[in-house]
Amino acid sequence: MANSKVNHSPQKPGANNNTAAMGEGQGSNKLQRKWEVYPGRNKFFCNGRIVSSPDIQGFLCCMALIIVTDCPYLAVKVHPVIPVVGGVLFILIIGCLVQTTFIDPGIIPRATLPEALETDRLYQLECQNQENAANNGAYQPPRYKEVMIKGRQFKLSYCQTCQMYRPPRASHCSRCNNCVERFDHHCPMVSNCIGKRNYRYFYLFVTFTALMCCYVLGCNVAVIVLRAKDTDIGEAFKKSAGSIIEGVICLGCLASVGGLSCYHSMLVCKEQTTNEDIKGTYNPRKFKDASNPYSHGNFITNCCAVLCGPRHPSLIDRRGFVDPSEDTQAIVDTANARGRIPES
Amino acid sequence: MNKRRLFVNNNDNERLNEPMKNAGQKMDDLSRIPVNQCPKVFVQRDYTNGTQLAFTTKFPQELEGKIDVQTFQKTVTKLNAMYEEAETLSGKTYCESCLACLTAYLSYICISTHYEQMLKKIRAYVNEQNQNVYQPRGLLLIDPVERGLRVLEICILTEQAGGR
Repeated sequence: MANSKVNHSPQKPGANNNTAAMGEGQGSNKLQRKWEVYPGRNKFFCNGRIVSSPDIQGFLCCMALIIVTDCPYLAVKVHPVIPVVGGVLFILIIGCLVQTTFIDPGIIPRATLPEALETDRLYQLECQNQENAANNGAYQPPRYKEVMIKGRQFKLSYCQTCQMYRPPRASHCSRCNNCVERFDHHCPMVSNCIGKRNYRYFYLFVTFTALMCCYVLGCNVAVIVLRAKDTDIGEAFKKSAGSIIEGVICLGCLASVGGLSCYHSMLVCKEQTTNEDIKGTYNPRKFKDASNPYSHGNFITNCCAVLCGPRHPSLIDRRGFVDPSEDTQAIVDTANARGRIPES
Repeated sequence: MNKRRLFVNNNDNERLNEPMKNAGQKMDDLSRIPVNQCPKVFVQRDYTNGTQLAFTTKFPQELEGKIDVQTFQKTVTKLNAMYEEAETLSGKTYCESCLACLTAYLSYICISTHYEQMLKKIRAYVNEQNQNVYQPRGLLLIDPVERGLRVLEICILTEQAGGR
């Protein structure tokens, strides 16, 4: 939907934004909030309280679809309880959608300069130990670090943009230009990444929407059947043309959302992410030792852990003030500071 | 006596001149080294038990002679235990999540979650440890939340960066 407009090269637009933001910062003496100099490409609203991604059009479209498909039915009253149930579902859906779109999906803040230098230094030392003479002078940026997680070996790859080893299950979102914990996918429909913090809201949103579709479809069928009882069938179809149109739209929605909902239900039961499923991290045909170390064992615990687990805090301090004495630290590249490393 | 003083002075000059070249900053008192310029020791995350939050209790070499191993490990173990308490699935977190879901997530606006309360406790603990244990030894713990829970940063306040 909004994909075509978005530039896919991760580096350049982000860098431009940075320099623009930095320039403003140096000009004015007013204290800046941290989100104003944030290096990623997320959009912030309400003075940093709300995080979203660059393509907000998707969210508006999604919202419009919901209102268009649902409201006409709510106007048709068959029985007093039916619109109430519809209304409750509607509120839940909107609640989940707002949560999914507007909270931080679990963005990992970029490494501070000393931290990045330390990682760099350790990697260089390791390189020197491994191959003394082979390529002595050549600088190599860090690449991998190997860790054991519950007996299985994992490679943590180094993120050049965020200048750190990505934690397990994290991935870099090229659209938002930052690393997201327990990265699931970037969803242009809700216009945000789906990650550790908002996966459950996304899942509930999809599931509730599927339920809503079923519910509205059922009501439409009921209306036609009830009318057909009173008069003949042709008459009933003529009278309830609105219901038929709505039913068709709902069927279309159900086909897409229902499938998605089933797929994510399966993932929730296995405690996997879409990213891992597509890559086949736990696929026994691709890897030898392919058990999922994050699974809690049975699907009930997995569901509870994903859907009702603790709500993790947002790690990017969006509303904090930028300390003027270390303003450039977060954004400076290690390349500029690399000259100091060989001394150690 | 005289000789020794001369030697100390020389040594001091060496140490003080270097940062002046580097940072253009006049240092007359060692305790005034700003936090963002002193060398830092990083205690990395420990992923052996999955993605749950824990820091490795391996004693970093750089801290040798500054603090004893037991004290350091006690602090890290305590921190890990507190993070585990924040992250484990308990009845309280289930109730919180269900309540939030039923109120269409409006409850998050007014109720602070178990995790947030634990983070406050952890901050208090870090401050307390700093005051009683680390600052008298010239070290400073940084609350991991400020570093995105990636590392536990320990600043060595009595040294200058670049000299190592």
